[in-house]
Amino acid sequence: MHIYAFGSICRGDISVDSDVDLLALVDGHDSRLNPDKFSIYSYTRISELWAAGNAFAWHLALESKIIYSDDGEDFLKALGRPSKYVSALDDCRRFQEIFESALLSVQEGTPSLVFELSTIFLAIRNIATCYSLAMLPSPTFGRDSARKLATRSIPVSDTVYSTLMRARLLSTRGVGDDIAGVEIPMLLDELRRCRVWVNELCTEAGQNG
Amino acid sequence: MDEFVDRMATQRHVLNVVNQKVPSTEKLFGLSSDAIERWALANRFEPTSDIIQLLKQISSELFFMATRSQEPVSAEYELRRQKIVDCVSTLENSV
Repeated sequence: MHIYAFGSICRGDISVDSDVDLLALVDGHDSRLNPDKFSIYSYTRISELWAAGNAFAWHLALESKIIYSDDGEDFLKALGRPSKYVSALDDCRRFQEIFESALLSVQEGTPSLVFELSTIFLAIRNIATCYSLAMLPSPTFGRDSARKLATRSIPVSDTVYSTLMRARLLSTRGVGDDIAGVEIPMLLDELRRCRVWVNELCTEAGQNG
Repeated sequence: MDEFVDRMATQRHVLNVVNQKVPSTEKLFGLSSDAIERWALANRFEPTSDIIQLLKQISSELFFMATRSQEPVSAEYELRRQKIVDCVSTLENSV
């Protein structure tokens, strides 16, 4: 078994609500690993992701640190650099679909607003990461990735971005204050601008190849 | 359907069922263990109550499928998918 930390803690990008992302590489099932706490992959599958130039493989290659190895080796380091990232359009389209379904739910007055806003945050963060991997000299992986695209950063206010981020924390980790008081018409107005941004980034990712 | 999109749709369905039909002071925000525990605490559900047990079971199966979704589809995977369908159906009938 090999265990890695990855993400914000490896960037030194730490805040009071940061958690620690952990990856476990295993052979077969290991009942000691809580899937709530670990991303669990087999050695075969992680090697396939490396060979495919998958976005997650790039994330791990650029932002992970080994914290346990049962054979003294660093498995990921030994894999070298992942293949070139070529699936930006497919990845962006997939998260665009997720964004659209969540936006539609918000527009229709969903009873699960926090979940839908959390889903929107997940989609825009991943679209930004995939776009940066394909289009920018330095990819960006953090929760602020959509705001770190220079001229292509997401055109939403700090208030709305922070609301989306809070929704993500509420939905995944159950922490933070409820966002029940959020002003829906203002939110929808800004989310429509997000939608234009999502469409533009997907188009640019497609034009790039 | 894309497995990831499929799991998102299942989560949305479960959350909407709970948030529409179960009277609560705070909505259920997600299907992570932490989100379910927060909801139980905020709405004074016993951890052993049927609804919390069902939600935890659905959560556990969804997380299992998330971590195993990168693996080839197996008989166990299909079994767990069916278990989710059964749990969601039980949930719908019990709220």
